[in-house]
Amino acid sequence: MSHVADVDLHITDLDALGAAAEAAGFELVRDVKTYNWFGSFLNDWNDTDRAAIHRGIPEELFGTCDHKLRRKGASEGEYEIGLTRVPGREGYTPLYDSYGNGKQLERALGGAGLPALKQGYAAQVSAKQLRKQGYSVRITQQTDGKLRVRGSR
Amino acid sequence: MSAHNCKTDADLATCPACQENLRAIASAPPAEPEFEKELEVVVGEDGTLRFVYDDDLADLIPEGYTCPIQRASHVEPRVDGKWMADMRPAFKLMTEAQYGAWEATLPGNISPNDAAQLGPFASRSEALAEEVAWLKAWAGV
Repeated sequence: MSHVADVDLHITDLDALGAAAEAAGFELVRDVKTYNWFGSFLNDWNDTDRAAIHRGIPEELFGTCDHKLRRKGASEGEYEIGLTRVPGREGYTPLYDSYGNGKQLERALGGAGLPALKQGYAAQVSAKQLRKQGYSVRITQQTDGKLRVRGSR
Repeated sequence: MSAHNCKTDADLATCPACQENLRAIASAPPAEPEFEKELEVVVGEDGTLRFVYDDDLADLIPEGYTCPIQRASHVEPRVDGKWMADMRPAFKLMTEAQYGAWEATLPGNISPNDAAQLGPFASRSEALAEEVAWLKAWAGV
């Protein structure tokens, strides 16, 4: 089965994404053209909120990427997250097959839509901005699950 | 102003009171580093950012994006020169749970509208510090 999910996240800062991925137990692999997924598109997922095909992403982009995220210690063939330039969108869009062992990706990154990746990326972008302004930065997780990025100078 | 009359290094070296002061200074724990400025950004589980606006954070709003910047409070002087922080505008930024948690701390004889008027403070900077502390404590920023 192929359930290619479109994550509502447009990545413009690969360094920040790499740091967020590292913190979540993933690694950013740059400049690769394919990522692991089911391998062929069966058009059998009708979730209009999540299915990439229903969110305007052309089928020919499935399985192709510019960079990708891979779980550290991933076994051969384990599904990965492609970071793909989608026409009409800014930056890179994460695409992944949510079926089969794609569920492991979701479990590792907070569930459907990979919220932990979004949160980690946003925190790293914030931290980078603060560092650029001369702040020393600390990121802590609150008991309510939110991340607090504190800059001091 | 010291009660004794130490003027030279030689005086200091033999003065018991000065020697006691020097020992106290030497044994004091190092002061915590003081930062000129601290900024915080809270990142929600869906990746949304929430922060008290500061120009140093302006670049977090990507060009071409609209981002709601809303007033959370007013700090104003009173006629007697003291300062008040009016936190009522923050009510509309708070979730029901945040508002409820804050309201539950109020004594029964104080209305939320009155309780949200912080002060009076002797200085504007004190009012601004309390304003930010309140927003962090209750409004999730």
